[in-house]
Amino acid sequence: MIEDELLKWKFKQGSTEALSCIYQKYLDDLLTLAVGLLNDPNEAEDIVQDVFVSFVKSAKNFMLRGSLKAYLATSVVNRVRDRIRKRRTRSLGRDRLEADIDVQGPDQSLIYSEQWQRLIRALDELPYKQREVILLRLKSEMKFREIAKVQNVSVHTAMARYKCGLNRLRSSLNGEVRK
Amino acid sequence: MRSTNSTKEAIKQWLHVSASPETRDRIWREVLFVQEESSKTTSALIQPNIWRTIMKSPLTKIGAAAVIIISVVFLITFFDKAATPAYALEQTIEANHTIKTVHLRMFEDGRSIENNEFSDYWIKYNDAGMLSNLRCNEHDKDGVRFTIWNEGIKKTWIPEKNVVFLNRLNNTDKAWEDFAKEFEPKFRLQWLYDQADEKEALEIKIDEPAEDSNSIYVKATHSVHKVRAELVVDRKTKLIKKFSIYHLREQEYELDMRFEFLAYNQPIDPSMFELSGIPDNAKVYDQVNQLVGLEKGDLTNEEIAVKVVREGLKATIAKDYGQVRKLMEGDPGDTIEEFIEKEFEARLVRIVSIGRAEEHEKINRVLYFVPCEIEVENEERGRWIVNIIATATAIEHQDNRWIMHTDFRVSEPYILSTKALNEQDRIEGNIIVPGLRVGDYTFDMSKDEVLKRLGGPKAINYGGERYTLNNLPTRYYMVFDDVSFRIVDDSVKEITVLGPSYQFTNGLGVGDSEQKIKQAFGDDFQSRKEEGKDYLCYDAKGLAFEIHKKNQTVAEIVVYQPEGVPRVLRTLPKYDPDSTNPFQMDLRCRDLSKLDLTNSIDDLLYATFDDRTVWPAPNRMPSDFTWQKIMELGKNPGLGIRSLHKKGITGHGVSIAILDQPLLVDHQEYAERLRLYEEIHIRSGTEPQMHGPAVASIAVGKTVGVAPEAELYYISQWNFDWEKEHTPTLRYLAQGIHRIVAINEQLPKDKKIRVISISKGWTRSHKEYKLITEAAQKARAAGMLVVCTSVDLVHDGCDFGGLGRSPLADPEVFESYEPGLFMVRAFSTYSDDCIWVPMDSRTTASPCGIDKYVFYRQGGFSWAVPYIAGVYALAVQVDPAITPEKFWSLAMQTGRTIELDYNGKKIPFGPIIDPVRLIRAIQAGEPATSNRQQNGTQPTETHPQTHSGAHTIVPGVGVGDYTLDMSKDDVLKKLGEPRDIFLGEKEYTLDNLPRRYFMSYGDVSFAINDDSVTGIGVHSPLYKFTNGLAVGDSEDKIKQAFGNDFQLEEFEGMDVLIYEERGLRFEIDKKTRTVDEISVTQAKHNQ
Repeated sequence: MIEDELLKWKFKQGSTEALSCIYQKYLDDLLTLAVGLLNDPNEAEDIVQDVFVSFVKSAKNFMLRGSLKAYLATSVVNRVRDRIRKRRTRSLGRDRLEADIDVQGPDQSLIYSEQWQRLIRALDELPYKQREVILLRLKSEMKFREIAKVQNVSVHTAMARYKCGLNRLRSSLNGEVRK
Repeated sequence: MRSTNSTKEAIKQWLHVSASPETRDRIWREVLFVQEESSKTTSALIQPNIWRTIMKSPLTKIGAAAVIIISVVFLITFFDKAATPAYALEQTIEANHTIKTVHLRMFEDGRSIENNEFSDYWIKYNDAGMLSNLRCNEHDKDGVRFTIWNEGIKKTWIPEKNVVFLNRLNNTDKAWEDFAKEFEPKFRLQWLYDQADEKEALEIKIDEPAEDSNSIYVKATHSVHKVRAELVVDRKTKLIKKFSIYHLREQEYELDMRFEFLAYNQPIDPSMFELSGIPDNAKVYDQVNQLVGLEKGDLTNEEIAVKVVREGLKATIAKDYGQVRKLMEGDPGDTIEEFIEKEFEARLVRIVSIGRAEEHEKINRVLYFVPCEIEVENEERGRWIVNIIATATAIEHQDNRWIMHTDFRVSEPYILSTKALNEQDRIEGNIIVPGLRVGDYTFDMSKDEVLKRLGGPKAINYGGERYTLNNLPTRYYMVFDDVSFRIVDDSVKEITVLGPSYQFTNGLGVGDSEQKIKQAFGDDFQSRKEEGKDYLCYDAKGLAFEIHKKNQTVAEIVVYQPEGVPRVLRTLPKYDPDSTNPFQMDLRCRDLSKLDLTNSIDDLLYATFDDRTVWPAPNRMPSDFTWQKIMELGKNPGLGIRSLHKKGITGHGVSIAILDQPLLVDHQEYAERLRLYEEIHIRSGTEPQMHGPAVASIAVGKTVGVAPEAELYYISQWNFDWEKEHTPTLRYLAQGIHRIVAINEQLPKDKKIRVISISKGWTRSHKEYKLITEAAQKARAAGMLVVCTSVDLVHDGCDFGGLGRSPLADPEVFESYEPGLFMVRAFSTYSDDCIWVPMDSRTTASPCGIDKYVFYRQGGFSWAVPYIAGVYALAVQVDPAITPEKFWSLAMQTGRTIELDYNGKKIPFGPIIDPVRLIRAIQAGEPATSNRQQNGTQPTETHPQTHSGAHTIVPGVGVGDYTLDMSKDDVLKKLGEPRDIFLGEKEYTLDNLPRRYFMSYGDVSFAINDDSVTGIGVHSPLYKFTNGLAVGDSEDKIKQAFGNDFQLEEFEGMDVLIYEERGLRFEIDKKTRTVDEISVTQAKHNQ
């Protein structure tokens, strides 16, 4: 925490070194989160780049009392939701085109863990909000209170989504047929 | 089988991607580029500065205490570079992680220790190490002051003064940052960090004396910046026991501040973070629940400083103490009234002038000193002028708002101008008061009163002509021995001193030198030549001096009312319903402060006024007349227009042209929308008129307008011929229309002007009918709606009427409207072939200032025309292909008819334009069913929901126009595609519907079962029961109104009250106990 506090403060003073540390420290985590939520590496890269660019632009007015990691993760989530919203408004033809691109498999700009495909497929079957809560909890280490705020629901609802999502994931990973 | 835990582990461990080196590098380059670009516009933030010993604000002290621990940790982190291995400073850093509570004592300097003045802090941190609660008891020579801080709210009680302050202070807001800037350690740390290699400048000693087994001493001294920090660390716990900061002054390090950490991690009783024992009669300054001061907006610091001081003085004169408190800082200092009483034993009666604000830094905040010349009075001395300095500053806890500080002082010119009046002066009253009077002669005198006092004048003249009392023109000068009067419409407008018998309170008068005048009145004058004479004019003071050309002395002194100073009214006009004068109750820029209006509500409800109107003190106003509320209601275009704005239907991208009188082009309402401003047949120097700003703001005003994002093309023209003795003409209007058509031809296809708003009309018998008709038809042929007060002559079959509204009635509610004031008498002659649009009771931009507003009680068709133009812009935004005729036809079809009490009978009245339904109909590509179509000519007699209005909740029946007998398709037809379709967590589309689901449209949602509406949910207070209850009301009110015969169901976060018999459900928020949602369902007996 002290390290992040110092990084935040130095970043606000305009330190490139601090920015570099933040970038190196959180880039992969944010990419993981974005890809996990969207299952689209190209869009995920765009989003993470957007997040860092906005972060840099905000330096002058940057005031953050909470966790830097949670802040960046929330920024990713907000942008992912925007993308999903835009996707909904796209024409069917466009969707089909993108689906075609997806089946070509992940591009080479990201390096994936061996278990990736299996996990991401299972995650993809979850309702979006459950997927979001699971990733924010397990990958971004956010507290349920923080996640509840991001999702604008009560802590109990966030926890229920988490629990429900985990159960489904487990079933999916175990190869059970969901009823 | 995989367990949940192993699933978690799998996600944690295996769900991971990393960027390839190329990707990592590519994104980083982009980020770096943005940072470099940003840094070019960012000034260096780190400015090593001297340690400030005085932290005046309690906020700073609290902040200082809160940040101290983390600062110390940082400090040690950096000191670590020079630390000896004997003491592992990391242990202290680690130890600080464990701090959950701390009790510390702060001394500000050596003197406070000597005087036993200190502050005790009890601080509690949350799990993240952030401050969560704080209490401070400040002990000084005046007693104790208590402050608590919990979750962003600071509350201070000063028993000695019996006052309580409530401030908002988040540790994420700017105020918190400000304290951090002041509190040196963090910034000094940066400096230490930057200079970490300058070891020669930084000397750090760590001392672990064997004889003192309990403490470790750390001393860091920077020889260049002459700062020393001393820490005493507990050897066992590695926590800090004392922390002192010294600054080198005159060869010695003097103590700036000392913190003694008295206890760590001891439980703190929760009651410590509450303030108890505050007497009921304590004065509460609440900056949490109410905004204070004035919003700065686009003004400069100097401008807002002057504005806030002016408003503060005005409120004091009006004895509007609520406003005074709002405009002044929440400190218990003197108000201006108390200051004047104390300094001059007098009361404030008038602002003479306000000078230019100057910046002064005072300790740790920037203050602006504003010189003021004010008139004061008491029974003994009468009235006289004094000079004071008032102070304004930005408020700490409310962004971009400024207040008048409690720091007043008497300024230098005071010595000159408040010299005691001699007895003769007082008796004779031969005093010149700028902008107000000469002796006893004032601007509210009539010509007859002047004659009564002074007898027959020596001469009466104007423009080289001489007149007699039997042969007076409208404007003239009456000249007496040593004074003359400029008379307009029988009232005194200027008073001119011709001889030395009248003087200013500083002794200056006719015959004194120009130099003396400039010394006394300053350099803020304009030199003017009029009729061969040279004048020094102080317009802001209402004062001009004619200067002899030969000897440079004062020949005449002219006193007049400064621009914008409200004129004192001695009686309130009476409203006469039979009068046709729309301004019979004109209170714009009038000073009513001397009147008692307690029993004048019937007249006031017909008043036109502006934000320069000075009202009497609240105890002399009718309790049910709130001019601020009237002003705010008048800003609302009403009838659901704002709900369309929320949906993005704002006229965005649509161009409107207006032809009207000269415009105040910079008014904040429309300045950003103005794309073109031209003048035709306007004399140079013509001031903005009242008509232009009003129509422009009604059409495109950002807060009062119908289409706040439409583009505005404005041509001002005057419909009179100067050359032909001001005879009316349509020639220039026709020219203006042609000009608009010509401009339009130059515009790109998607920027074409779609509507011209002309708040003027003509008849077929007008001698220039052909001329104007040709112009209008040309515009029409170019695809424009030409909306004017005779629109039916341009567009066949299109006509409108103007709506009135009682000023306190809700503009959103159709039933608030009635025929406009000037139409009431002729109402029966209007056919129902016209669409009715809001006209009266509108607040619009004022021509008197870029942030000024006027409430016009009576509008006339002039205000209805830009309203229609605005609605048309909204229509064009949603359907660029719409035509004026289709628009008008849809407006008529979708308009609403209400019931009106007329001559003791209830009659249908309408159609009133319904912008929401109109836009929906346009979006749907066909008209929504109008209540005319539903119900014939007497719609109000057939259907329960129309009986009770468009936004009425009818239990067991429906909500507004939506009823439980509708099908899913009916809903879609009326409202278009829903925002969301869902059931539980699952979302659907129209192509993929289950049997049961909800369709949400924001304010309302529909429960659908087998394609039928089975319930209608209301989520906004827009919809109400006939008794006025709505979403947001308390549970208690619901129970009072609907009784206790309900079933209760409990859910997470809410309780649901179910009135089965009535067909109603209320979702009650468990925290606030207010209604979150109202659902109308089938009543049990109907099922």
